Amino acid sequence: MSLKNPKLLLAIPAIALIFIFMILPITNMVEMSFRTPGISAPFGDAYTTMHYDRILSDGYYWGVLLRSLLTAGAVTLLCLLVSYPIAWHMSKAKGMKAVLLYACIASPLMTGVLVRNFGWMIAAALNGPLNETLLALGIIERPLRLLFTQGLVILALVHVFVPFMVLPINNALRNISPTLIEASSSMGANRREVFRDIILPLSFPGIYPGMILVYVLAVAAYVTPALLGGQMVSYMPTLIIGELTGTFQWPFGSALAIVLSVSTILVVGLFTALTSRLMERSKA
Amino acid sequence: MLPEARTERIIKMHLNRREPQMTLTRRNFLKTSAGAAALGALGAPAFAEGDTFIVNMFGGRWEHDWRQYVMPKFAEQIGRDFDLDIGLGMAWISNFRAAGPDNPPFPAVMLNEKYTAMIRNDGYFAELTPENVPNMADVIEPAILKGNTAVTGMLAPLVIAYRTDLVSEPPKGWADLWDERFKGQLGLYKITNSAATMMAMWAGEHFGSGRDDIETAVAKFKELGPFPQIGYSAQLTPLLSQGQVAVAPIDLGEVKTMQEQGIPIDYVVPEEGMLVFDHSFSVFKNSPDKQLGFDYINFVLSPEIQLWMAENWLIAPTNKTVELPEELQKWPLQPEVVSQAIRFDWDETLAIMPGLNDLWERTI
Repeated sequence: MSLKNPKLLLAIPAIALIFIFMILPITNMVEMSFRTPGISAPFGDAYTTMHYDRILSDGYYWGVLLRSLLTAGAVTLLCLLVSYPIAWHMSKAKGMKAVLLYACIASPLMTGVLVRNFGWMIAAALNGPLNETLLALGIIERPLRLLFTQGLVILALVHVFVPFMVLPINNALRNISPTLIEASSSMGANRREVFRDIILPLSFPGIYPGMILVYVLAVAAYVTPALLGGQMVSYMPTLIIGELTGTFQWPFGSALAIVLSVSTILVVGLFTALTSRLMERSKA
Repeated sequence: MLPEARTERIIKMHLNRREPQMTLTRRNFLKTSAGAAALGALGAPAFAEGDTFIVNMFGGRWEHDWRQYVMPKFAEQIGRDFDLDIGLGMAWISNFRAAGPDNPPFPAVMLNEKYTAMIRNDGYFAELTPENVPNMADVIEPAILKGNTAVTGMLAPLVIAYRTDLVSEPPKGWADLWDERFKGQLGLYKITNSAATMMAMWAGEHFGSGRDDIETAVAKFKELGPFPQIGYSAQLTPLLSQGQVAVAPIDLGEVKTMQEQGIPIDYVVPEEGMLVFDHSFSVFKNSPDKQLGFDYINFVLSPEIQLWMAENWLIAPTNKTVELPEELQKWPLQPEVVSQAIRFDWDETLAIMPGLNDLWERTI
């Protein structure tokens, strides 16, 4: 590398950061997942595949993994359904209305995850505003037990992750030229056809990163399922934390984390493969 | 400076703690990065203690009170600033193990005995004696732990709390939790919390063949489900306050806090015997500030601090010379009550814990 290529020099800090804070820790974790259990140390000296054998041969871990991946999938799809109309309105908004919409969308990111979760705890309490409203409207006769249900966990995760879906979709929608929509309308397409054949495919470059971002975040979510789910159902992140800090089985916890990471990468890869043609079309 | 003024200054400093102002120029950023990298490369922790005395403490009211009322007195005594490392036993142990016995993060540590037992045989701790910790001469016998590696400085009673407006007939003991009338109204601790570990061992002994009968214990807790599992006491308090759960085992201090807030809550000392969170204090053998560690433990065991903890946290004193005032007599803090608490051998418990945790996670 020489001074003749300043672009490479400028990239050094970024490369160093990624290497130190991402590549090294992940490498360390992969190595640890092959270590024997430690007695008085975090891990033993020898190497083994016993942790992976244990995970892959035990239906319990498969079940927890599947539950984590499917729950993240449900959160992602709900986020998409909620976010698309919001992104559509945002893409049309101008001036102060656009600023207000951006502020509303970004607001969940401005409070800590613990504060948000305790907010949901208060809202979903037996004597909380949700139950009070439903009772006042006569929809229910007795307060619903909303807390510590999977439904509330999914709802809270959707609430948190909507901005990550709205913003990229909004950007994609803003990039669609109005002349395309006018042209298709003038050629006889009704509003539904315009949306299905023009707008939806062309907004896919925003849907794709939004879905991946939300899915990855939802798979790795720990605090929300732990607090609002009441630990009644196991997810991979809670299981990993339990192994790492509860029983101090660092090698086994690392193996669980690697299995979760690889599974997530496979799901994302499959999604990318299935949607590659749509992506190519939208780019063309 | 007068002692009062100095104490006031230290308190103000901690209550109004701000990040130090630093102009991030390219040069000092590079210097800092290079320094951190060099420390990391040498295997040293990438932080400097400087002149600050650091100890660990739990979060919430524990941190607030320790920072505001207790530590300024010790800081004044040693003439050094202080800071707290806030967390939980599992995270601290993870850090100690990662650092190793030769590289302790601070001089003295407070842990539940469950965690002390995990590393006490690995050469982390100095031996505590009345010579290096004079107040140890006055502590109750059960407070001195195996190999003199730790001394219990706080005994926090674990009782059964219940909402008086939601429970018509209160439970009398642990076994009553299995009564049908509490179905769906219970809140319990996660198995990673020592309270759940103790309750599981009690259940193994009560319903099964012994404390190591984890199959029976877990099967019995399965009968109680579904119930929320909470990481630590402060998470259980809002659930009891909101009426999300009506009955729960909980730290006695939380009961007092809720009562002071006007929440209709009361408690029972279980007839089988209460459990206790035992917070023990140890000194890291290889800390350069080892003597300050001894001084800190001596300070915690002093009658003044022991009484302060009893009055403010409902912690049972382990210093025999402490006389509980009249207003504390209604709480189960007396030595004769605390000495009847169910205690556990944590060395034996640690041996069954991986199996217990695994079975609990799978079953409940």
